[in-house]
Amino acid sequence: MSAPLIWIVIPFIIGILLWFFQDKPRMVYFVAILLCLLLSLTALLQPIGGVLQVGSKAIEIKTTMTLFGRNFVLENENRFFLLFIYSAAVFWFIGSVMANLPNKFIPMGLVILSLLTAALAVEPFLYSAILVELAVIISLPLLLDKGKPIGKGVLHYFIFMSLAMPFILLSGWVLSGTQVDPSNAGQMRIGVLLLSLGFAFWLAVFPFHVWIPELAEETHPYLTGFLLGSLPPTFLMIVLKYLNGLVWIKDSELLSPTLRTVGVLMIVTSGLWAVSQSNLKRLIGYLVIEISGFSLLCISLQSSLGTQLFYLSLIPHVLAIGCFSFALTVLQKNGVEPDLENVHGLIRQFPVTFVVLIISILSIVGLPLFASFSINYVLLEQLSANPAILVWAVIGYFLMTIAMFRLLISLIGNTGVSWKINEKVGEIIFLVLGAILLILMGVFPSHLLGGIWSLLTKYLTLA
Amino acid sequence: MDKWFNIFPILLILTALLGVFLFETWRRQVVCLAALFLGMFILMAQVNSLALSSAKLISGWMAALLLALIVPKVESVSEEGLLSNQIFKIASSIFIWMIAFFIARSVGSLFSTMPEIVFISLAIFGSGMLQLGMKAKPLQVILGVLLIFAGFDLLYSSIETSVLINGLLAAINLLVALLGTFFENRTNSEEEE
Repeated sequence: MSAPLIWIVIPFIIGILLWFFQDKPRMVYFVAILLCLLLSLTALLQPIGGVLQVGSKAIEIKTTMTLFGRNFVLENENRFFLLFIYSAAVFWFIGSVMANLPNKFIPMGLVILSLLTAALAVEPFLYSAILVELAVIISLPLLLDKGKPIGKGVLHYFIFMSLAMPFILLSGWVLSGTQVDPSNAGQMRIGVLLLSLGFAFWLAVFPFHVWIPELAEETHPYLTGFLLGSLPPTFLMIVLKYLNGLVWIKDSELLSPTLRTVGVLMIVTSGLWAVSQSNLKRLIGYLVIEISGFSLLCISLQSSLGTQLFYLSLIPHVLAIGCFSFALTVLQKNGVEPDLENVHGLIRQFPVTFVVLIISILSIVGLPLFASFSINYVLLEQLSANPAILVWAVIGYFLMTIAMFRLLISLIGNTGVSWKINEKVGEIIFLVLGAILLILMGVFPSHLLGGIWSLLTKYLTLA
Repeated sequence: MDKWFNIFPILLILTALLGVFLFETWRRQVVCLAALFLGMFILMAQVNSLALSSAKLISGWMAALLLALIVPKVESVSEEGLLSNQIFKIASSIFIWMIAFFIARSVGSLFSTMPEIVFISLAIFGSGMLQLGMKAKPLQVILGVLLIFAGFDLLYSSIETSVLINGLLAAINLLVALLGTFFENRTNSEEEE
């Protein structure tokens, strides 16, 4: 048995099988959650390349699976991603029932996640672009709401993701030539340019960012959360893999300044747009762009600390995106259009939802006592050698904080309505649990985030 | 150009590209797309195995067939400024092809393949970009993405021979066409409601 069979083929096949049982949503729900839990636990506990003992039978978990001459390789270093993506899937699938998502969400979600895992596993790694494109195409029918016209956000998402594929594949071909002849500087430049363009489309780097807020505005917030909580982290993992695979890029003096500039550009531009944004659904898009910028800054450190910060930041960031999107879902279910004008004084009617919404933003921005604070602090400290980058990053975060305060001011306005909790019990439990985790990560970073990291290093050999 | 007879598939492809731009009827646009895949097949067969080129042609035609089955409720006929509109489309297409022609040599030095293939790939790719830039309706976006993929596929299949990769690229073409039918069904059912 091979690791790609466990984490790619099995969820893919089960996803397709579950598609035919959409009329039995409870069964689909429990099977998918159980499967994702099992996959997460296996990723945490079972070393790849080791032996899995099932009763008296010993099964060797190989790293490689070959398909039509191409290898899919999952090694121990990928176990963090596997644990992350499938445990996040448990969260997304549990909330999907309360979010009233269509029955096809879980089967298609499983297929999308398995394709994203395959994108990370495929060798040569440049072919990941094709698998990502397949995942994107499969996600499109999910994004179309019944009774609503096909919006430009969905089309732009499709176009930008589709444009990335040719650029990345061609860059792979050009750069493989430079591996043979590293003296060809012109070819190198073109290869890097093509690769950068491809990644810029994927990660929604300015000016290719329009699709994220548009998509967030048009589609169901929980679906947006699922996609934007799964795609950018996978893209960033692929970026890391590319950098490790192309040694001369990794060793280039230009890499770190380029990643820093792009990262800080994403943080500043997202903050700039967020501050003038009145639609809360679009705000989630800008938060995702900011998170991607932050991750690029972590990667730009080119050290084990940078990688550690990147890995660790995924946990609070995706949790915050999950809480934010679920809070928006609760508002949507109650017929509230999430716009600053419409939410005036609404904190009195949906106190839990809005408190969690604010906690989520504060956690992403990384204010003291909130989830990402310790990670942001360490990152900014590391960037202090480069004051310009540091100042711009702080400006970006400051702008996002202003956006949050605009929301807060709008919410606390007195409309004369008395305080009342309109959320359902299940929604409250889901929201409060998420918020408590976010706060605990901020208040006890060394215990919670540090504890998670030591657990991961112990089991996943990440040190 | 080493082989003079390649002028015929090139002309076929350029005419098909113009057809995709100029025709306002969906079926005619799709027929032009099918003709484009035929032209691509003739060029591809010179650098690839016949089996692979045929597979690409068949998958392209299957995609075109899937799209041809769609009957758009509203054809995008623009009565006003029809002539100026078409002149603009022709001029911008020719402009794109000229750019493709002038950069084909330098791009060709990167990819060790026939210069005709490099030029026509860039022309198709550029035309796809133009289509995406000028039209915003879902079906026209599908057509634009298919053109981009077709241009890329022609260039890439001349340098990459992996069965899995070429198979996946063909699958993506078909899925995009399938997405087109899904988009149109969605639009039609909305209008009926």
